[in-house]
Amino acid sequence: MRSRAWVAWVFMLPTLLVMAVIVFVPLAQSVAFSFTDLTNRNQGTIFKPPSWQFVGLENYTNILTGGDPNFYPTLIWTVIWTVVNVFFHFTLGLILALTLNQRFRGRTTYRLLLMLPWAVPAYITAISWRFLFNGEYGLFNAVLGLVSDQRIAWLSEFPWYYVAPIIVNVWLGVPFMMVALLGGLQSIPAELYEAAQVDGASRTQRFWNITLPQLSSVSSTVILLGIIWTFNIFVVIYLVTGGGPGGRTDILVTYTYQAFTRGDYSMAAAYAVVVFVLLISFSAVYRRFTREA
Amino acid sequence: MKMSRRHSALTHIILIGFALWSVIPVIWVVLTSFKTEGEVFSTTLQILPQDPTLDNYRELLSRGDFLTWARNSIFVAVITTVVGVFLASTCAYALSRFRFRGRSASLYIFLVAQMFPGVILLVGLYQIFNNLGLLDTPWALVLSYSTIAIPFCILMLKGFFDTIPYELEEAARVDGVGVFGAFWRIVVPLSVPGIAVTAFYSFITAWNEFLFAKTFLTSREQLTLPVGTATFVDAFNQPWALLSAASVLISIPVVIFFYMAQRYLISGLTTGGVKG
Amino acid sequence: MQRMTQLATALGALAIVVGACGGGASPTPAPATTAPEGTPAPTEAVAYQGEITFWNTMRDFELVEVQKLVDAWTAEHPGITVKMDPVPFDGADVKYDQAATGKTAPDIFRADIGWTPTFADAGYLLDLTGKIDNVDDFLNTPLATNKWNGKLYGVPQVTDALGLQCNGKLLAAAGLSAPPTTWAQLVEKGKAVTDLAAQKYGFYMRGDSYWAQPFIWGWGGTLFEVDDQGLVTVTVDSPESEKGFNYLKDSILGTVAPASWDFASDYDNMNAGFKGGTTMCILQGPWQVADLLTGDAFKDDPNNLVIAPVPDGEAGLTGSPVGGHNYVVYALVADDSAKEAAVLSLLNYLSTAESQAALASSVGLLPTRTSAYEIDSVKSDPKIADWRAVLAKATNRSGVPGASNIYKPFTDNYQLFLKGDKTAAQALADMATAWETTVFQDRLAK
Repeated sequence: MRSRAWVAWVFMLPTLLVMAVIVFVPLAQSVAFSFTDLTNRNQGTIFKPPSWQFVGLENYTNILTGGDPNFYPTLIWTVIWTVVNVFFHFTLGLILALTLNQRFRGRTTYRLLLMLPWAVPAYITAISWRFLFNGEYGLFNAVLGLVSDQRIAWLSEFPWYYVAPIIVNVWLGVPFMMVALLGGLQSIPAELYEAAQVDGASRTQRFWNITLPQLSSVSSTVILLGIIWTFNIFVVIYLVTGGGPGGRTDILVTYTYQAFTRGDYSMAAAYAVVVFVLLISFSAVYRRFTREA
Repeated sequence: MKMSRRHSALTHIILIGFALWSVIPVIWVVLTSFKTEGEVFSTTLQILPQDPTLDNYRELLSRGDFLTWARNSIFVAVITTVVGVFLASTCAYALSRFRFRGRSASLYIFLVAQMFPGVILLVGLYQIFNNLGLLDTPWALVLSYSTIAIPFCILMLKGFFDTIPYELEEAARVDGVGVFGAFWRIVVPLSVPGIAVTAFYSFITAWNEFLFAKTFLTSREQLTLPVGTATFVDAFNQPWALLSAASVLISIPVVIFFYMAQRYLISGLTTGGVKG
Repeated sequence: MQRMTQLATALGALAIVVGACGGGASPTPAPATTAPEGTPAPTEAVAYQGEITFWNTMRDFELVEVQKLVDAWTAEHPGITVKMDPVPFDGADVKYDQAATGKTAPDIFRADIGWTPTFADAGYLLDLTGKIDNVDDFLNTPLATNKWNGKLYGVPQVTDALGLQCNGKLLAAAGLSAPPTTWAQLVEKGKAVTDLAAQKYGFYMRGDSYWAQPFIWGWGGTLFEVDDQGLVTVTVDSPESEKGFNYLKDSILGTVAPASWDFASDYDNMNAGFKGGTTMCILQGPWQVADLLTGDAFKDDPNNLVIAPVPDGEAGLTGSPVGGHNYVVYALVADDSAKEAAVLSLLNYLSTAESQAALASSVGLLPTRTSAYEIDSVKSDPKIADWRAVLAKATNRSGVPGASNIYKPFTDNYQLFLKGDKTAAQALADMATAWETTVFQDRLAK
């Protein structure tokens, strides 16, 4: 490690420059907008003078005190969406990683097949599953039709409109966890298991006392990443349910996008800042918690 | 470790189950791509196409715009990869090898940068690109995608570089090689797996990204594959057979590239980023 | 960068032309060689040289026809190229909005009628009052969608409305010799051809609010009223609207149409079922007719597709949303008077009765000029005559800036009503509140 700082900054300069233009400036602008009432109607163009004003914390108070009746339900669903998805991502990923961590014929083939959902682009997955769930002509209803007279409108009927995008997202997200956890498993020194076996520990004991603790560092990182990515994932909700029916399946990012396309720039900025603050606070708490544990 | 008979059966059941679960939707899309629209919109379950046809593929490839979108996506993805790898590796090297004020702040910023939703940047970015004259060009996307992909790549590469002993570069410095030389000639060749992961991740990010492309691109001939394909699925038109063919064509390069890189991906993930 | 080179080239060409002609005598027009049959030769000469940009939201098969007209015009105006960009309809208004504020908007844009007042109010559009040939020849309703604050901001291209489209054979099977004239009749007779479990339907509804509007108007309800100052009173939450909604849910859904269906894909599913011959009637617009005729139920017998006005709800009451598109011109075009003349020339050419008739006969879109309906190719098309009857019973939409934003909260609440999460009264009340707070908040009449 050296301490000639200027060399370091030279190395970092290209990245910092690009990020300044692409990230920091627009971010600062968005935060600033969130304190105004800027919309596409008052933003001022070459044809009309701007008529927007600073409104201080009004947007935030509006959001947080329920002035916007859709915000809290959307937030609650976003949290449920994230928790349920990450739960399945992790547990299924762990089961598969444990299964693949043994030596047997065909193991590589299985691993390659199981990684397929990760390879396929997410928007393609979303579009394709949307048709699988099609209420009249989709695969699932065709199969259902073999055993029953009832068809399910997967994307418009309760509780299926919640379940369907979760299924899609779980399909999408398991391979990443599986691979990360498999890597983690493979770096656990074999001696630990051998020693435990010598001491007479059972399979279950070995799992709880060696495997899980050894995986804790990898686990905590991938769970945090999973939470962040799932919270923010746009294409699954947007292309599978479109946020419907009636906006029930909107998560915060799709809800924000709607505000943006509606021209409500200041509200969209405020929602986005709220999401950002939520995630940062959560990850700060999370990291402190996992560091102590 | 060897497995008992029962254990082996259970393992295979679990793996076969999940493998089917992973593979069936993909197979279904592939099969659909060989069906006619009439067959697709049928109310009875038809697994195999009755009269397999290549018409969907023919129509896609004869539509000038699908090929144009592919060309645009390739261009954007390749340039993003080059830019992304360059930016991420130089930055990660600095973070790995140097101790300087602002180092931990920088690390924290890169971690945090992954956390905000893309939507928060849309309005501001649109104005910036507009003023730079980059709207409706691939360059808006190249710049945006590089910045989306970099934080993850930097953290991953930094972790990777951390595992390379510094002594090698020290030795080179003693021989009179400059800092950049040490970086370029010693660290980079040793980091091929990590760089492969970075390249792969950047490529995939650019190839698959939807939201920014939808916002910054207007003309038909500038669209990338995600936005172009999504125009097939607008409120008024969902030609599923055609869409399935498009899905297959789009996914093939990604899947191939993925499988080529996956070995490095796993080692890159484990040595690099995920250890936190 | 690209624009600079083009501008330089254009200026250079102009300089050469002006220098060579030394006074700018207009060339004699040659007869059009590429124009579609029946269209007149474009005769005006213009001084402008360079490019005209045109964003068109039409679908591919429609674009081809417009391109023919454009090509005929450019053949008569050498030195001008028209760059026609196909822009997907979905989100085109957002794109135009952003481009207009960034000075990169196209010279001509095909704007939905709902967007026109919004763009006019924002100042993006060129005032076309007095610059359009034969303005009085246009049909009132489509023309009205181009007017804002007493000025004209666009030229109507096509108009449409939802009509009741039925499968003739299924009508006969249900004991009907013509499409039902009231919803009650449709329900009563439609049962004969309905078998919900087997996916055979007398009617297929959409979960989209645009399609729900007939169920408000057909019972005497209205959406909102606009006064002379452009101020809005929201009126959708009325007992009449409630009755219409409840009729839909109680009498139609679950009887002749599915009670629960896939909202996300219902447009396609509706078309597919109709094309496949398993659905008797649907509400659909003229833009889809060309596609519907390729379905198994109609491809061998196009006359099997029968078009009629939307059925009555309560006695004598019906309504159908009028839609359509206008050509609008970017305000900045006025900075260059030569360019403005060229753009107006193109616009007027595209809007002649003959041009409209050419579009109508090839892709089945309805002209907006009265005289266009007298042209033989249009007059003799029975489908177009049917659509005129549909239009006669359609409901005019009040043009107010931002009005196209009513559909999202409308759809959201309508879907929750369909699901049973909200009563009709509740859904309508919430819809009204949303309109008052997020759509019309700048111009409420109070």
